[in-house]
Amino acid sequence: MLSYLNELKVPIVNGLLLGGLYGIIGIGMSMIFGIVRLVNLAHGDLVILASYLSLVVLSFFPVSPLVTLIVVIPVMCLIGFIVQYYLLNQVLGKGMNPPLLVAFGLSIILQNLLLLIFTPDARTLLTSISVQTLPLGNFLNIPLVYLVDFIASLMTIILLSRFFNRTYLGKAIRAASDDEGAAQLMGINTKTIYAIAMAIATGTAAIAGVLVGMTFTFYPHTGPEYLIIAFGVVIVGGLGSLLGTFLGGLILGLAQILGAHFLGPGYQLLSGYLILLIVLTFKPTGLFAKG
Amino acid sequence: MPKSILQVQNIDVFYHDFHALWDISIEVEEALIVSLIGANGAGKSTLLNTIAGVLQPSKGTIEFYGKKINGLLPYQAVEEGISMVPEGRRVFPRLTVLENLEMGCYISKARPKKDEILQKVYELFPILQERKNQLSITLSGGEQQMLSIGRALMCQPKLILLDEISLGLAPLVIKNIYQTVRRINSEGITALLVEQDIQRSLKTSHKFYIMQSGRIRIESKPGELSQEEIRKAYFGL
Repeated sequence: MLSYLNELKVPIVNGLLLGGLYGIIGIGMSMIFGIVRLVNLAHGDLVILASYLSLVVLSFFPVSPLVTLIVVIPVMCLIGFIVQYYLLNQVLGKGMNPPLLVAFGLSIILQNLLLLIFTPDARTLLTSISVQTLPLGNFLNIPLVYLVDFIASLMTIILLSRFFNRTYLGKAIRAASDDEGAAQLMGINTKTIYAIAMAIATGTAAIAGVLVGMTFTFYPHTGPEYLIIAFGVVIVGGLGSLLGTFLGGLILGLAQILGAHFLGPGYQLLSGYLILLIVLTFKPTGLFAKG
Repeated sequence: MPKSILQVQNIDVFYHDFHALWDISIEVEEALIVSLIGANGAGKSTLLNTIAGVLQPSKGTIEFYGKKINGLLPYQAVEEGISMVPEGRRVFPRLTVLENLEMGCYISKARPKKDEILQKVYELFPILQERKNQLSITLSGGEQQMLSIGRALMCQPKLILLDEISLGLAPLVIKNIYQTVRRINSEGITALLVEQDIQRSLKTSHKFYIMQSGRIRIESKPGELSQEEIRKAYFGL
């Protein structure tokens, strides 16, 4: 029994760490879904766009990919603000389909733009972290990059949740998400608020993109893979709670790695989706949904 | 008569193809309570929403303290000093009571006096102070209405628009809320009030308009008209 549990330690730790990364991939999507009521089909591509932006910065300054965030986050925030303010805001309130189509169009444009500029070659953000491991006890070696992913993700979520609960702007974003009309009557320009929310969401996509780029290889067409993961995180975690999104990521990560452990590596993705199906069946609002 | 601060002149308002307001003109004088009376669908709320910038008139002008305000969006009307208590209260359900009040003074010129105004609102509605850390969705209907009024006061408005503030509340609560409205008014805040209860309106306001089918039927002061005349105008007889 004890040896059996010992054997499980590795996949559990790996699953949780992978889940941390999934959490930050999903958080931006969850935010926009909750605040702007928009399913941002381009979220995965924005994550990958950030990976490529980091690659560009690295080609000029050979630093750690994490340092490139100083440039990548502001650039991604600006892109998010512009996309929301000038593109998505124009079609909000015109029914379900127009915003969905605009986001889908954005996704296709981003993929092809990346293909045009960077060719279809596999890329990765090279860093010494990727190959190092951290020994934990006698037999457990944690890949350092996964630990960095987890910590960065957790820190982002804590910072975001402070922002939403303690700052005027954060509260105004929540107010606009609760009742757009009433928020306007309070003097809140909700169009600008939405653009700021998108800027923050693409800011988290920037962090996710750099972490993904350090952890895995990426191509111009990798975006939709992460969109699916973000969807999964939103479905499992539910809307309205940042911590819920993070926990949703952990559950999805655990489900994948444990599935791979018990059923074989080929079942990693499938077991993640099974959890999605189960959650959708029994608690369609998500496990940690509020309100 | 005190000086007139809001002039609505000959406005027409459409909801898509539906012609909701026809050639409406009203005037609101400083520090008075003016009320709009009328049956369901008479256009009272439409008129308030147009003044607040939620709807735009297709014809006519609205002037506030001498400045043309039609064409402004709701968040810009707030900057001019017009604050609205919307129909159905519309508090932010997932924000706490205190956070709701903070949103009331979101505009930058209101924020420096936030703590002072907050104390005033707590004085008007002590229950809000008791419940300041509760989510507003957990409040009773009457408490939510108080929160909605308190929230609208936080931006230190010159004119407050009150839309059906007695809707769905117990008589005792309504009485309490109207007492507070008079108290707010006595501190110099002008109020434009929409109410279905004629008696309540006549008792509270200095001047009233009766609306029917999107038009103003009568402008008068409480005591000037007989019950019969009011009733006829109300039903458009």
